[in-house]
Amino acid sequence: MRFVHEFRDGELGRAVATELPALLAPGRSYKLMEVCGGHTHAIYRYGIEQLLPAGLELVHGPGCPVCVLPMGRVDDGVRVARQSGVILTCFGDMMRVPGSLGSLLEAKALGADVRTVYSPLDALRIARENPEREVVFFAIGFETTAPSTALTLKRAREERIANFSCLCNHVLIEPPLRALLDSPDLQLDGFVGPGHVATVIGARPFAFVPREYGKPIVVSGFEPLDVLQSIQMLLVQLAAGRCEVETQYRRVVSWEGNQRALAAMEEVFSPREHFEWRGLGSIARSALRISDAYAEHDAERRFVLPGVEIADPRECQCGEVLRGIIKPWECRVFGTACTPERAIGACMVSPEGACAAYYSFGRHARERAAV
Amino acid sequence: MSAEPTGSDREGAGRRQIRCITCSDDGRWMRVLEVDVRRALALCVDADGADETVDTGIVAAVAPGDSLLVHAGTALQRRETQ
Repeated sequence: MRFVHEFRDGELGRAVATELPALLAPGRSYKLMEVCGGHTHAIYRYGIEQLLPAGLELVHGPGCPVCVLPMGRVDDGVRVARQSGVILTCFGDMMRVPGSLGSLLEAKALGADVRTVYSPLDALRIARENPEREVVFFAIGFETTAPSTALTLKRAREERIANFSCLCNHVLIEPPLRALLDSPDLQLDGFVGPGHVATVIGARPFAFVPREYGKPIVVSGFEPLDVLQSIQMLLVQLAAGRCEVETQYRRVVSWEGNQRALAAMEEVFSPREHFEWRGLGSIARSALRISDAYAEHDAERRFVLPGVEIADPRECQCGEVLRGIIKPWECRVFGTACTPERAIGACMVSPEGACAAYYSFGRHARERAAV
Repeated sequence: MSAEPTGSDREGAGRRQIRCITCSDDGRWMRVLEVDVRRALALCVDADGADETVDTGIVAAVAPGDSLLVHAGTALQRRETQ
């Protein structure tokens, strides 16, 4: 497959890795954060950490939207799903995220009509085929997924599908990045930027990272060679004393982004004043709600939802993992009480959560290293 | 990580989820088979032969044979037939 296989060449990857040590200043340690859960997944899946020289550490960021969704929002979804006549639709990974009322999968087991879909278009089709039912799409994701929801709501309006609504949990990438950069806990040298978010918003919105915080950022693709080359580009910047936005993922990302996608989002969504992030707390204007113009398709206006904040389980350290303060294996319940099969925290649920990615791919390499 | 098919009963049935769709890395390159210009939809096929109806509302006009970067059922980027 073009654009995929040529970026998984192991020999090329090892060749790039051999050039990295020369870019490190002697005696200095480096911390780079990959913002996106997709990068975390690729790093563990392809063993990229094992190719990195000593003194270079990757910190896993909060870019998995499933992982950062607070329990209260999951509870809202469960409450909607339990209502008579409702079909709640969501992506597969949302099904097992635990809330205080249980997960959507547990709600389904108890009789609620919860269905997994691959896209909002699937959810709209279900609404079209079931005009006597209320069909709600549990929307989640960063700017990559938000255009898909926006286009589907526009389509629902055009087709006058009145029984379709959206429980909107879309979040934005810039506010949590700022929250991380403002955090005294975390000393980072640079960022591997989220490539597909940048496909929509462009590379330009990341200019605040070098301009205001003095850190370089390289917008990266998701294949192993993409990630390795992005790390190399960051180290080249640091070695040269440069601090810029660069785009490694040029085959997809432009500086200005996709204007049609941004226009659709502008029409359908409005910023929320505040939104709660698991591990990061409440962040101003960090999420989207359905705009007044599309109020008839807003599940939050169609259903009565308490929207309360629910604290994470005490034993769960997802928050510290999401802020990069601890590694997944340093969580007190990692791999024991909390596994992908029986997750306590959301980071263990999504394949892109740092804990699930590490549990599935990384722990074996670490065990081998320990031996 | 889920190893079970998690797609809807019609579209994408049989696909195995090895990555999370809600974040960004489920962007897949798909080839356009047919185009419905009026509804801004395209029937596409991925490298594994799975077909899917894709919303083309935010990319320029597509034609059979084009490659689309598809995320959550929506084309984010287009490459013309070569």
